[in-house]
This record gives sequence, C-alpha cells and structure tokens, in this order.
Amino acid sequence: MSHAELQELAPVYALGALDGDDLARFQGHLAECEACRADVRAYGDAAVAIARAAPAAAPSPELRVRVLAAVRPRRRFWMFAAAASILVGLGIFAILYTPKEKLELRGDSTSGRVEWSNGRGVFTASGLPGLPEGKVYDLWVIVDGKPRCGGRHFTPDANGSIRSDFEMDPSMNVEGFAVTVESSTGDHREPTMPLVLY
Amino acid sequence: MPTRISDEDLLRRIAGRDESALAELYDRFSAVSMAVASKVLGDPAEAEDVLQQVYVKIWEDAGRFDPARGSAAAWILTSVRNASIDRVRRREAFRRAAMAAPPRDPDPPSPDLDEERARARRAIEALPPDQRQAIELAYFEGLSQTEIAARLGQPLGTVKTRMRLGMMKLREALR
Repeated sequence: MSHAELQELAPVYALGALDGDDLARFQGHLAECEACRADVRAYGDAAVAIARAAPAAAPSPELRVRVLAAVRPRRRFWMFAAAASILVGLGIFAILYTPKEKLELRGDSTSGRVEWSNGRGVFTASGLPGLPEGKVYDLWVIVDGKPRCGGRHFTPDANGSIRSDFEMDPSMNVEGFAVTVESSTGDHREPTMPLVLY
Repeated sequence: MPTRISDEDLLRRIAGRDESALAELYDRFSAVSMAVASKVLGDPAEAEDVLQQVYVKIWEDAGRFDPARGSAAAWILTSVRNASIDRVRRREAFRRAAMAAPPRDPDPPSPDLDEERARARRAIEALPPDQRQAIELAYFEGLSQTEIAARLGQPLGTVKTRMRLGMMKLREALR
C-alpha cells in the first residue's frame, strides 16, 4: 500500500470503523508515521463534533453526586483495633470496641463529617447557610451509587453548625453521604437538590 | 477575560487526585456525554450508569491520557461512546434501530457548549445524507466499515469513500 492509500484510512480509523487488513496495515503504519498520527488527532476532533451534534440529553443532578461520591476515598479508622486485640487476649469482650468508619464531607463554604458504626452515626457540620422557612437540610446515605433513605432532617444552629445523631440499616453497604436542601414537607424519596455537602 | 484552564490540564490535575478538577471536567462534559450515551443506548437510566462508570474510570485512568494521540475531548467522548456501545452489545444480541429513534430536543441550557454544539450540528447537517448515515452508523452503533456495507447493502469501497469524504468535510468545517 502506498502512503497515500494508507493516509486515506486515517478518517475511518478515527471513527473506529476500520477492520480487517485495513486496520492491521494502518495500525502498523501509524506506529512509524507522525503525519498519519497528526491526521488521526485531527479526525478525532471531527468525531467529537459528531458527539456534540447528538440530540441533547441532560444527566440528572443526582448523577454528579454519585460520580463525586464514588471517587471520594473512604477512610476506615480501625479505632481501638490494636487495643481490642490485646483485650481479647486478656479475655475481655472486644465487641465493645467496634471499628468505626469516618467520612469527611465537603461543600463550597461548608465542611462536615459523618462517623458511624453498627447502624448508628453522628453527623457534624459547620458553615451551613441559614435556610428559608419550609426548607431543611437532609442527610442521604449513598448505597450502590444511589442516594437512599432521605428524611433525616436537621436545622443548624444560629452559627450554621450542627451535631446530630442518626440511625440507619446496619446491613447497608455505605459508599458515602450527601447533604441536600429539601422541602420540609417533601417525600424525601429522591433528592431534589441543591447539593450542599458530599 | 480570565484564562480558562484547558481540558488537558484538568486531566493532569485529576491524575494528581484533584477532586475539584474532576467536578469541573464533569461539568464541562457531562451534557455531551449524556447526549452520546443516550443516543447509543436510547435509555436515560442506562446512559447514566455508563456515565458514572466512565467518569470513575477517568478518575482512575487520567494519568494514561496521552495528548500526543488526541485531544482530551476526543479521549473522554471516545470512552463514553465505547462504553455505551459495549453496554448495547452486552444488552442486545441484535442490532438496535437507534437511527430511527426520535431526537430528544429541546436542548437543556449549557452555555459553554451551545456555540460548539451549534457549530457541530451545522457541520453534520451540511453533509450529504449518505455520508452522514455511514458516519453515524460507525459512531453511534459502533459498526465497522464491513458491517456498514452489509447493513446498507452497498459495496465496501463505496462505504469507505463515503466515510472518508464525510470525515474530511467535518474536519474542514471545524477548522
């Protein structure tokens, strides 16, 4: 195949539609031809235009919560684990020292923390803006990438701080927490936003 | 006018574990990603699953992005497209009639992208229908040149020419 013939394959390669001998030849050629690599880059941007011209579809605001919660590292603090093992050695019930999990939450001007173990948790936050009448903050548990179990309302004090105990199903595989602003009369099955902490 | 950080720099920051950079990248690309995934999958819930998978993967793989091979936009949207097509293939043993799906307009507002989208749409709409059809079959259904020829009942050479000419026109229109 001449270079001109190979170069003609670049646009179809960038579309991901080359196959068979054409694909094998072009891939082999690409490794050693900067001009064709440049063509593939340019046609790759043409392919971006195909994407951009697709009929619009907006992801739900909830998806943003899921994505950002999914990449946030979960830090496990095996508090007292060493002590517990010693106590087991001494014949004292280690169950008193259940490992606790902790997650830091962040927002624009706000920060918070959830600590939980065995279905009981404590949520603390500061810097929460005051809310208009009829609105409350709501704490959601992220399970399987989805916000679950809203309805844990709370209202911060005059300084924007909160410390609140809550309970949840201990069998849930908790991936994260998120705080939204909800109507105090809403059904709290789906978060409506805005998202304050995650 | 404040300098806007490039998509490529955002990927570099993501590779350095900067969560706010991922949030920014998501805000820039989630609408177009959703448009691609919805077009391929025809189902918003599945499209969102794919997006979640892809953006978490971007978080993990941002360090592998190689600007020498193409732009950040191309890298991200190719990931969305490929993951969507993989999902379709797993979901269905038969080919979907995605091209027949009615467009889901009107557009939601996305100020930064509106101009680019309008430009892209003009470029696509300016293509002769047979070129556009071949290109969209490749992009949104993930068909190879041979599969497109079979689907359309056209000689392979004809299909290759249509795709090549169409892509050249797109490239020219976006220059």
